[in-house]
Amino acid sequence: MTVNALESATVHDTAARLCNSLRGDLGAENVALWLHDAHQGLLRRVAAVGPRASELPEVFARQVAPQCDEALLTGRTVPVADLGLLSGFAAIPLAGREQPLGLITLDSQPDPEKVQVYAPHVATAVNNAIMADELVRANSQLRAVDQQKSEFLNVVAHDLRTPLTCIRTYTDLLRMYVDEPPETYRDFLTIIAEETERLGELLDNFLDLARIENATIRYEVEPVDLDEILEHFANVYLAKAAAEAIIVGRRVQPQLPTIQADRRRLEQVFSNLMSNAFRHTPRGGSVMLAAVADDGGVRVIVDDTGPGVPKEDRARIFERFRQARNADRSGGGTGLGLAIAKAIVADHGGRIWVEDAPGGGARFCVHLPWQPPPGAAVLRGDQ
Amino acid sequence: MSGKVVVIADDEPRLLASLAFIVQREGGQPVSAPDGLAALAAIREHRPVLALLDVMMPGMDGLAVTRAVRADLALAALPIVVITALGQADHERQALEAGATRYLRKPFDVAALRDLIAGYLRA
Ligand SMILES: Nc1ncnc2c1ncn2[C@@H]1O[C@H](COP(=O)(O)OP(=O)(O)OP(=O)(O)O)[C@@H](O)[C@H]1O
Ligand SMILES: [Mg+2]
Repeated sequence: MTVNALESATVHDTAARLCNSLRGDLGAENVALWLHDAHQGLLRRVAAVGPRASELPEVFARQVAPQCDEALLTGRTVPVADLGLLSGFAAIPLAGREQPLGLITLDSQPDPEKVQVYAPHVATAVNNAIMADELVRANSQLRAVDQQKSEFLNVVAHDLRTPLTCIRTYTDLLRMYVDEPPETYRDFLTIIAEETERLGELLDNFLDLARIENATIRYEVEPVDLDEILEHFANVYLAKAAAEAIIVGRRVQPQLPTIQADRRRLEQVFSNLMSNAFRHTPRGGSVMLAAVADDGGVRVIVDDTGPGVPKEDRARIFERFRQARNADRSGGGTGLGLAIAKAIVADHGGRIWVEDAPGGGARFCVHLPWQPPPGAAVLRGDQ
Repeated sequence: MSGKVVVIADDEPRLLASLAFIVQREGGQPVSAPDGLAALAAIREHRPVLALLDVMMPGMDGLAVTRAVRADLALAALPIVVITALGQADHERQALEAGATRYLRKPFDVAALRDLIAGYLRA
């Protein structure tokens, strides 16, 4: 809290005004106000007035000034004896809401009666400034969340509209032009069926992402054989691979132990990596899958021989709706696949990233621990 | 059989194909463009009787194409229908300001679009 308060102009202004008026009222030349950083045991200067103000340290540790420490702990005003520049100052503690708020230091012995009157007011004023600042902060955070939500909705609406417009248009065409040959009907119905499917996929993706982000997704952890999963995907893509003359290879470390994970969600991750690899690999290229034990878990690798992902895009492609700058959207992607994959992997306590494949294409790596670490989101609700 | 040309531009291939289909069925000759730049080039080359332009296209958008056409004296009389997306009311005003003859909202009423195209082809 005090750390935030230190960056707050409201708190600084208030503290400076208070120091100025205390200087006159308590008859001191130099007055400074310090906030207590309980986490680190530090006192941080938020305001100082007087000819020697600039000589004061920005921050000092409680232990190096036992008198200040005593003032904080006891709530009593104490003279500060030997602390270099602070020497000879009196420390007036300020009570906070839960913990001591901080100190006022000044270079004259103040009238104890005056201190009794002033200290609580100063403390209240500083506390109020801090609270006002927290409110402003909380408010702007809420606003940012709101903005993100409405941006999300805008993108959702836009992405849903395209397949919807397609479905509606081709349905109307079928109704309007009844004398077309059967091929036209078949073509239009295929388009309608595909766009309907795409609409369903989009909806699933949006829901998945929403569930992951608000932590309502349900995971089921069980032993998962990655060799089996990779074999499954290699088979699923056999027909597509043959059609596009793409070689699919698989290299799994023998006797690779199973990992504890949500099988269906992991399949979702690898399904996206596979479809991405295929989408970006030209005819005659190859897609290589690998799994090896590595660093307390297993590393799964998907290599392709496509254009790869430029360095400057490597972080953003994992954000939702973000695609690489050079991406063509003709493949029908929504830019959600990797965001979902990243969230699922992170919920397992793992990591996903992209680098250069040895052959020049993209290499997507997923590192998963043998079992999710305690507190991992996949374990939530599993107890 | 070279009918009157209608230039159509949309970055969604399937929507583009549906527009081409209607133009063809109504006896026109569709010239398709996947983006604004291609649309402008097609308009200059083919001297169409009508242009149907989607607003949201990569690179040069439908509004920019409209402005470029209106700035060209030789093309200034070309009827331009700009296709806007629902919920982007701003685009409709911008389309008219850019010089569009009219705008059509997506998802559009296909029968109305057909009548509109047929009207320009018969004129
Ligand atoms: N194997 C790859 N090679 C090159 N670029 C890639 C590869 N995989 C992903 N990308 C880039 O990352 C972007 C984001 O990928 P992501 O899977 O999140 O979305 P998408 O595939 O476009 O859509 P979706 O998966 O939602 O259908 C892609 O659009 C592409 O630009
Ligand atoms: Mg994808």
